[in-house]
Amino acid sequence: MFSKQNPSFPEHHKSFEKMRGLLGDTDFRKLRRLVEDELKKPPRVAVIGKSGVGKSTTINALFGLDEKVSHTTHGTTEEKQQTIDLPEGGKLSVVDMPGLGEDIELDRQYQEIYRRVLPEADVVLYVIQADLKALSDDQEILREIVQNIMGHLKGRLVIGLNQVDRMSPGTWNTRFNYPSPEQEDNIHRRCHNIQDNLSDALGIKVDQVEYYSASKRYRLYELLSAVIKSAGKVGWKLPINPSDAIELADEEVREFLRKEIV
Amino acid sequence: MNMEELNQDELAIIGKLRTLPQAQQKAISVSGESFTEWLKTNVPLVWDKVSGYIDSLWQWFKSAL
Amino acid sequence: MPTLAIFGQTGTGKTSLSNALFGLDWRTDDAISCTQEVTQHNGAFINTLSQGDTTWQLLDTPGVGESKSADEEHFREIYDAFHSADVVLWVRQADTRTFKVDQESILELTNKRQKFPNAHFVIAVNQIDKVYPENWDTVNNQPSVEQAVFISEISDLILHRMSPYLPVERHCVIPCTVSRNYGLVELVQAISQIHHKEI
Repeated sequence: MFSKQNPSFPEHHKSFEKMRGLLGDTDFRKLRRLVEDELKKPPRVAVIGKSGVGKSTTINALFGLDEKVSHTTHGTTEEKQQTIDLPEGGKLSVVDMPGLGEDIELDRQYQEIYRRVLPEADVVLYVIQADLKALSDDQEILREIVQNIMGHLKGRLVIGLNQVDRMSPGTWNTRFNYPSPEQEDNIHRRCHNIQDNLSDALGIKVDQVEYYSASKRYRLYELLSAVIKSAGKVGWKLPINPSDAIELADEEVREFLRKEIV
Repeated sequence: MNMEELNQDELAIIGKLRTLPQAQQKAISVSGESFTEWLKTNVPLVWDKVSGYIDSLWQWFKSAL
Repeated sequence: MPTLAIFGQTGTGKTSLSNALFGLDWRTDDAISCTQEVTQHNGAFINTLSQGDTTWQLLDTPGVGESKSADEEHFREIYDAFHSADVVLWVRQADTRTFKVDQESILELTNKRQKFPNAHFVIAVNQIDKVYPENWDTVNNQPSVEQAVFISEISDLILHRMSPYLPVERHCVIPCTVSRNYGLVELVQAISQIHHKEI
């Protein structure tokens, strides 16, 4: 919830003092305690998506967790709930739902789990793998399970399009850790296509499909903004500390980039 | 290394990378909006008193907690 | 003239495969589903892939799993192609573990496993160069040692998930990559062998 940067602006400091004056020391301390208590209740993020789309990698990259969320092995038949201590304090609860779309029979078993877990989530992140064109089962899952179970779908759902680094023509610039211009063009087209398909199937307007790459740490802030927003009144508890993309660029380039991008 | 060494594509990439801080700022402000919502609902008395100074309140929490 | 019909999820490379096997130039697209109707060609496999001169009727079908409306639109002609085939070639993308779409499509095509064409079934596992850890041996143009292990596991998994729905045997699951021109000789052999067995 709290950024690594701690800028101190003199103007803010002044009005902060004024505000403290407005509340009075007692009320101020009460508020502080209220916030601390509230932080003890970790925000709950449910991650949904087919096997292998990168759900664990996404959560780890999104919150800078250094692999604290482990990759579920293929064929898990239960949901996996983990409460993670965040590097800068506070906790996060992640529910990794068993992979969907693997097999007709397995999916039947999973529906019960979904009915139990999803209504309790503060935000649901639905992860799609970018380089697969097939969407009909994603549509089906979103419509039949998430919408029926969650009810207010639009509010608490974020659709993440992962692994865009693997999209054709596959010319990811590893030196700078960024897509080539032709790849970016492809990515844009794909995103619009998915938005159209999904809103068509769901009969609602899909606010945003955030494209990113968890493994390359590309566009994590954009995804994070969407997740915070969708978490509504508990979004502020989520840390703003995604994994650093520049860290993955070539060593000789890193220094240069850090200076250029301020 | 310096800017002269870079080709067209690479310069374009740098341009895009420069938008990173903006994306970060957006996340922070969205977070602040969420905190505001929480205050309005859960601590309305406090909200009434501080609504004019919500920005600095958010900045304070970020640095203090 | 035997009929070879190609099926599979959208984006798996059916059209690219058609182009590679028969020396064609049909349109493909990396981002958006392309083939919108069953496309036909009569011809032989290109001679770098096969010594035979059998003329095949090739049927390239629109992919399944594009969207619910597209699937409904295409179903009739995919169904007809399926039941008229002598060889059914089902294309899978190597780096995905989701089979539900394929399974459901096959259930619909076979009237819930009640009706099968008098054909033989081959599965092409395409894009094996993208298999983890994505370190294709470009010097020898073959899978890396690590990839070879995963490819074998993937082929086993494919057989495990598909065979309850499609009567396919392990030796008819053929790993390949069209973009690197690998595995296509074996694929053509699997397709042709089956045809010759019939005679």
